[in-house]
Amino acid sequence: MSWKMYRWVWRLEAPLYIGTTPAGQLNRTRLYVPARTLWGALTAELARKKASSSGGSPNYKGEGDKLREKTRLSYLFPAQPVDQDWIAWIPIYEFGKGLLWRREDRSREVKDREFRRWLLTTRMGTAIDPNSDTVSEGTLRENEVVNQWSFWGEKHGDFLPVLFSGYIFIFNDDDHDTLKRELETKTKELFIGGDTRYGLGRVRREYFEEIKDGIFFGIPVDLQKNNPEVRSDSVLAHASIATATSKMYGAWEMLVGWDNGELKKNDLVWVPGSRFYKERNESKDEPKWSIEKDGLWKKLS
Amino acid sequence: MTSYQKFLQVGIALDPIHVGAGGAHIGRVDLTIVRDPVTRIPKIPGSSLAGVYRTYVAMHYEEDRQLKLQQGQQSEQQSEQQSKTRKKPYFPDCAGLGLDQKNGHCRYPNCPVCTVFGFAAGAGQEGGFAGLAAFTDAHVLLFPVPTREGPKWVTSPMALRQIGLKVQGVDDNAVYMEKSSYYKLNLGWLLLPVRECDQISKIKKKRFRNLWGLGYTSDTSGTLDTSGTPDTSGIPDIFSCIPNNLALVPDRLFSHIVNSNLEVRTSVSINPETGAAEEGALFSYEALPRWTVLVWEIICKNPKYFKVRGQDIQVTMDGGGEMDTPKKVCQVAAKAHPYMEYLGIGGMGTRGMGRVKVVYSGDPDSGQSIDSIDCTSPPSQGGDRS
Repeated sequence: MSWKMYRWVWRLEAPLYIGTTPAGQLNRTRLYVPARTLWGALTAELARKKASSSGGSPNYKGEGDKLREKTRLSYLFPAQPVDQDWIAWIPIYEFGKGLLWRREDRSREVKDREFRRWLLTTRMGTAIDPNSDTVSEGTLRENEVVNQWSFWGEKHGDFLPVLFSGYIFIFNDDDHDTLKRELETKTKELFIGGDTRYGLGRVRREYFEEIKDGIFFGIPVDLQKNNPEVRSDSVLAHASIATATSKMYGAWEMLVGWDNGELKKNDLVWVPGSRFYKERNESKDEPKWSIEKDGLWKKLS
Repeated sequence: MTSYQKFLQVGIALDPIHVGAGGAHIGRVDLTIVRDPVTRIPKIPGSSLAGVYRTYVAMHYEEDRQLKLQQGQQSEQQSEQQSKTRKKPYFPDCAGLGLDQKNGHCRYPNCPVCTVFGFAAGAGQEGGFAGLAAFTDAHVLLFPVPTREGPKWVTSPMALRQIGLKVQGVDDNAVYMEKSSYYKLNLGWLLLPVRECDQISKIKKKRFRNLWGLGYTSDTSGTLDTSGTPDTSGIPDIFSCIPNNLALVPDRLFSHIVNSNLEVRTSVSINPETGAAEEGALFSYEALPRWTVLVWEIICKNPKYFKVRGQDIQVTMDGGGEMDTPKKVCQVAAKAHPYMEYLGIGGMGTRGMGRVKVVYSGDPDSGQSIDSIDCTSPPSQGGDRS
């Protein structure tokens, strides 16, 4: 039983809106793409592309189930273009500092508030009443979005594109090559998140290569298990509280989402960036996590 | 058959365009327009385009419905004809937010407006539909700037990327033109040396000829035709002079040049009793100037892969046939184009603003034979004198 790990990098071709809890009148966005959101976009695109070639109807359930079985997805995190490479920014909680974003190469870190300022903007909108050609009462809204350009905190630099980077693990069996080829050829462009009818959420793949050194966002990953397993003191996805240790700090969140027309509620989960707390006299081993079918992390030891 | 298809739209502003940001900017103008938050270049949000397209498409189908009703009443088979004609008006019902249960969106799987533009579920109702067409933000492709040599249409590598063109070598603080000049050129107040980039002729001949010369005829039929003749009606000589007056600048200068040359108008209310200005009623507003060339995309999904309230989408096209491909979805959306030419987009429409003529609507990759150009030139090249 083994997995092959691929890194992929997606360039924002339009602003991105991944909805989360609103703040007053402001509909806020996440700064990362959860695995479930990505799975949904991949499923939709694969099912429609395959239906195109077969002439039938899209088999969303079949494609979705297959992706769940044969792949594991990491969350996608913002990635900064540096020379010919793309370096991801990873969330991490620090005692006394709160949520920080740290560059994958650990060369820089900034506070969440600052990082949001680098990447986010808001879009306002209102509906026009066709009877009067004036604004419809009570329809003014404001959405926070990740912009497709950023100065990445440089005061005197040029603006650069915003990309998202992450990993996909493909199960290494007889279907591996076919599935990899399908992903490579049929998902070069995706529409992720909300308000896609206003052009939002278009991402184009810039890079898709196998990573053989077994390093996942700077941490080692074991590809020989039922699920890919990582040893890390922080989680880079939502992690179930039930399976995590009480010795963690960070933030909790209630994950909800629509599934086949039904509101699906998960348990409380630790948000990405939450960390494991160790006493001084404890073993230095970092906890082990498995990357589950739904992209959530489950604590193993 | 594809799951979706992108259709590039190129429009030219026949009037200044004001899409308000809904806020004020102290010290500049009172009513500012929407800008990209990083590049600071004005744009038209996709949500504005989507709303305008929806309204005008609803208007088109309502006019068509009224016409059919009139024809039906004159016919001997009046009752039969009327029974075939839809009773609920497309406009205003299927335009706007449409949440009103009685007068809102019809939500029928055979409605060209509700299927192409989607609808939300009303209060206490089940199911919505996202719509088959998505509209990207409209960005500036070419921006007219006054120079001592007459107007030049300024663009940048970032702007040209929107039509699939990768441009390299535009690095100096200079203006890159087809021919070098010994003298500097003013773009508004900014005086820049002129560098030669003979590749601009490639852009002109290949890309812009494709976009304009083999473009879409913006007539009421709304057909997409990549082999037709350009529709230059209403765009006199200025249209043909744009490709001959291209000026390329680095991305970092493009925003400065655009923002320094926006149209700014000042208005005041006149007191009808005194015929003099009202106290405190002076205000100024900015707009993208006339002849700005904008580019956006309509991304159309394949209707075959979607259901509206559990039923297949069955929209009949003008002239027969089903709306069963992304291209036909775009054809329905393109019904809005003739209306945009007269009713416009954005605010201040009663003050001579907003009209846009769509001069190209088609496959972004059709007929393109170049995808990158290089303007790298020896550093010594180009004028240094003003």
